[in-house]
Amino acid sequence: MSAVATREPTTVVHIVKGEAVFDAEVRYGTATPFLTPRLDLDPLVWPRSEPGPAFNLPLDEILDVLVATGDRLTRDPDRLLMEALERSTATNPLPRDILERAYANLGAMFARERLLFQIEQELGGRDVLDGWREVNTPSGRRCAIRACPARMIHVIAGNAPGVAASTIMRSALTRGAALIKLPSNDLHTAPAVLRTMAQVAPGIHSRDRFRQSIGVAAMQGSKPRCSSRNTSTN
Amino acid sequence: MTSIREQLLDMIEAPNAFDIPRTELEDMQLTAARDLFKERRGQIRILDKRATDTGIGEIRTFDDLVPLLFAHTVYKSYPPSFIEQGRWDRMLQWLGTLSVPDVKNTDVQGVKDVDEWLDRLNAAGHVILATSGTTGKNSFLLQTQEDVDRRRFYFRHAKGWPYVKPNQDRPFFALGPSKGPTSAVETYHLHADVFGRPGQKYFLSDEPIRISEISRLAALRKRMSEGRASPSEVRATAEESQARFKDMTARIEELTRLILEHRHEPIYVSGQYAQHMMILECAHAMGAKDGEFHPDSLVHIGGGVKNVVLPPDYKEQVDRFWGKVHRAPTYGMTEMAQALVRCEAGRYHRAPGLIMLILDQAGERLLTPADAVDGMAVGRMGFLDLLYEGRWGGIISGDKVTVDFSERCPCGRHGPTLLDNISRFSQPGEDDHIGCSGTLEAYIRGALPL
Repeated sequence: MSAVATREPTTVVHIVKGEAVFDAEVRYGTATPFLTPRLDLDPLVWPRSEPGPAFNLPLDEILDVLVATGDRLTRDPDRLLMEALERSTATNPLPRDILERAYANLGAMFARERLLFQIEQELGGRDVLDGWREVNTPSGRRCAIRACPARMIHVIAGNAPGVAASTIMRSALTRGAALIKLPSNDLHTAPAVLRTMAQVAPGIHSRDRFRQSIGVAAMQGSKPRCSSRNTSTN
Repeated sequence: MTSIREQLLDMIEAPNAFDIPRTELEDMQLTAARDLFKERRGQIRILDKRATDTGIGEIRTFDDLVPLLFAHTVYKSYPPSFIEQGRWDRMLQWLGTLSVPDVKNTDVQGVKDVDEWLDRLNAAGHVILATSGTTGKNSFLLQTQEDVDRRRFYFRHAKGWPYVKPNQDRPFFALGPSKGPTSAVETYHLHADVFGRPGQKYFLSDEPIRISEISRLAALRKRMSEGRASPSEVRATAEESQARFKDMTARIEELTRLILEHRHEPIYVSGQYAQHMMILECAHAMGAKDGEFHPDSLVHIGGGVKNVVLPPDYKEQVDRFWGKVHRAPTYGMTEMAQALVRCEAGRYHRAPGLIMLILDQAGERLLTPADAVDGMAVGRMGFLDLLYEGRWGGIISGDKVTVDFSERCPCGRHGPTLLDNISRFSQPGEDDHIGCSGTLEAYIRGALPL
């Protein structure tokens, strides 16, 4: 079953500063081959000398963008998720019916009450995301704390499509800059979620600022034979 | 050269050169400094300006030398834009403000980069030393050919002290490049001249050190630390250095084989820790054991460990590898011609032609035995090196030293000496505040038509 050497390669989409790149230039894999754009890391990083594009976005606008994205993922009018599902069946070890249910459930992850729950219970409240919270130290000094955005490389797992979706959602909530390295067994979900987000209307300014702060690409480390060193240095 | 100064420099030939009582030297040193200042003041514009501003018309005491010492940073005080914009004529003018010979005879027409500028200076008869510029900017120091010959003379009598006399009779191994304008390369050659057996002088590489290359790397390192370097340039540079490292690995094998062939006779080996570690690993792989070298061998391990990752016990490993050979380390810097030599008691002794001026931390006042506790005081290293014909040899450094003013060193010879605990007042990348250095740099910039 796994030695299907003649399988047609699928094409993997990269997302660079919010824009989808479709060029099929580099071929990876043997049993389940796929084509990707040529990797250029320069536009996929954010220099430390300036703040990330989404660092100062108001949380309310981010919430609007995410909720609208979830709604569109559920309806999938452009059939982007459907396409990702079809392509994923070639590389994902899960049975097709499980994958179908997982994709159908992606939109619900972006429901407003679930996002608000995460903000309050996982991130410590919206006030530390939008500004400074004053606290008193045990010695009586007043301090201010804030959840500051970070620049991150996500080497995500590919065993379920929800991982890609929640990575994007959490990057948006924390307003960080994120480069997602696509796993070899889920090459299509993350680009599909971001391409879906690009179509939503509310909070266009925030939407585009956030799209500027996320990149998605397949890299050398996607090949199972490669050492983990490649993934960590990229 | 005046006779007293020459006499002091020639005293290095004497068997007791590092054992002359202070009282015997000081009068001669003061006279030599007085004459040298008088002569150089008319030749080096910056020195003249400094003398005028500080009101020092004559050297009557060693204190008078203190405001006339150049900060080590003066030799890199040119505006970076001169190099970035290829203003080689301006660079010449800048160098001219610090040098005795007139450098205007240098043809800078069509010069492409700093290495070519240095080549042209060389072609015009000027020997320029450049520091490796690990902090991002290179120093340029002019010497005359006579200075180089004088240094060789100094090496012939001081190197290997107090264990070994140079006699041009050892297989010679420099774990560094044979070409390039840095003082490390020059020092390798001077050691090769005095220690090396003709026909058996080996270098790690004949690929010249290029200053423009070093500057490019330093600039990239700076951009990386500021988060402004792009992944593609970091990768390109990493690939280049990997290729270079591969070439070097092959040569290390060759050198290791040669070193092992000669291990039962006295040899000379000099290099930095990273290269010593490479030889060690290669020798072990070839089956050699630690401590197999002839006890009269001389092994120099120089320099700091800059931008290299080594195992935590690298010093112990290198020590064990060479075993009971002579080390004879010296304390010096690019700005100094006559490095201090270390005695059996682990103290550094100075040559008669080097006036040691240990200053307070601010670099403004000469420390004296009155500042000492139990004979010792901690201060900033300053000196007037009487050897140079090409430039002013008065320097105030960034080094923190402990001086022992006692009449006698524990080795039995005369003092003063420096303890073997030399460090820096600042870490690389930090600013080191020396009282006069800012002023001096301002002078130099002021001396240019900007």
